[in-house]
Amino acid sequence: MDSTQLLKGVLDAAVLAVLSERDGYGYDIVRRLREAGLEGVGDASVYGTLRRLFQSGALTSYVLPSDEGPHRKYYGLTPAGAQQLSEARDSWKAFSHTVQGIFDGARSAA
Amino acid sequence: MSETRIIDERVEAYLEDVARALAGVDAEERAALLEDVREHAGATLADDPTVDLTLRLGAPGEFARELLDAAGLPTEHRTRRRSWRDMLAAARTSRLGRIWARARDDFGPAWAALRGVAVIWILAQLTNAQFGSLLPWLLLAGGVAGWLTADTFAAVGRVGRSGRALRWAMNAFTLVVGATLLWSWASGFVPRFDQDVAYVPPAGLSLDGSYVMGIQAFGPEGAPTTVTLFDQDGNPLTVDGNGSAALTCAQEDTYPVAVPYLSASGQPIANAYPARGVCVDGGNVVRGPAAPALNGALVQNLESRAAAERQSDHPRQRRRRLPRCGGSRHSLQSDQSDAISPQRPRGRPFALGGTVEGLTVGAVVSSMTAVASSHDSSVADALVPPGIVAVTELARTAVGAAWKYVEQRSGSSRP
Repeated sequence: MDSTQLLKGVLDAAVLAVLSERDGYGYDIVRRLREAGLEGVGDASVYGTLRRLFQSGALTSYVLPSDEGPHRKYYGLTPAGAQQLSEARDSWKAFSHTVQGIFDGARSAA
Repeated sequence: MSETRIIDERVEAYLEDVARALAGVDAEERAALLEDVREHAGATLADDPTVDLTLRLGAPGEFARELLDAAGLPTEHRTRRRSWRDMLAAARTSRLGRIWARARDDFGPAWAALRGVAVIWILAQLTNAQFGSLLPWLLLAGGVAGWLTADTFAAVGRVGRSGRALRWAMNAFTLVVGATLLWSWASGFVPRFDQDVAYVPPAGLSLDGSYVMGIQAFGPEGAPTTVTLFDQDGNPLTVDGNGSAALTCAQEDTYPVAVPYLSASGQPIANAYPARGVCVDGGNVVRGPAAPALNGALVQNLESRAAAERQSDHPRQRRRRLPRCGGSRHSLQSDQSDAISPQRPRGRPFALGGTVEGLTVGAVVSSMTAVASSHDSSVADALVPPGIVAVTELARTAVGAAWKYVEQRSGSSRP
């Protein structure tokens, strides 16, 4: 199964979930997603997602200086973003439950 | 808030390519996206300064498309047509490109050493300096220097366009010189099959494959006689294997000592012309080079031996006349050998037909000629110095290992 397409559908929720733990900058968010198991996530996909979520009002951003290089743009959840994450969690639970039921039915039939 | 921006050429080069791919995007949107890319590329390099951005992040064009797609912006009409830079970057991120990148990492030190060797070699060629036996050591020193300065050279190669141009030029130069050196080794020191060196005729006089250690002539009545033997070129034949008889010394109280040519196996070659040697005095002090003797002025050993035997009661004098055998060099009477020469129980007489004109030395002459010419060119050229053999074998082994490495990489990269 091509995990890229699955990832595409849940990347918004994954980014929101990561930022719900604590604020982060782009490179940090990519690293945390990969450490969580989404090793195939693309750098550009995360940045594009951040850009879109920011423009939709789900994220806020601010700049902090860094000892290791240029200033970093941090992202954090807005109330709208938190609401979006909550809805995404519910949708994922229902969706995964449905798909799991299909898989289990197919297995018992086999 | 003011910010002091640290410019990294690698980031700027990558950013430039991404910006080119985003040429159709709204200016404000584009600036915001590029700022994110700049930050991300900078953080990537801060995390691993040696990383290749194209390999880590993907080709700039692909990165731009993925960025626009994830941001919900149209990609088809906003990104420019793929430039040669994008195609080059895509090639670098392909499977072969990644194999190449890994090989470059693995063989980087060896390549840096070869770069140092190439610099020394080209300097030696340009200055036409006669380093002699010092050259291999200089090349070795160049290799070590190239290896030690690999990191410095890599840092210089990242500084601006001039640095990149220098890096490309040096790599191209190293490739050309390395290929030239390899070609020289491969073509110059490996025995060439167009040379007739597979078979070296036996040195000296031979008859039917057996060495002739001495020739003794007898007259029609079976009495020893004196003959002087020459080959088809007028060169005197000597049978003692020494070659001194073919030399003469003009200076009084000196005598010639042959300095024989040596065969590929290190054995002295008899009857190799021109004969060479030195003149030594009674105290065995070399007084100068010996000159080839004039035709007909030697074969002293035969003359002296024949004269001595004429004065003695030698059994040969009582031998019956040898049968005529038509002058053929194959017409031998081996069954009479023992009777003719008790002192040479294995000796075989040539059938001369009673006259010296019947003596055929075709086998001897052809053998001698072949040896002489082989010594002059073919054999000498085919003698490969052991060091060069080792280097050639090492180069072959390295090429074989590199090929195996590429094959293994190709195999491991397949899904």
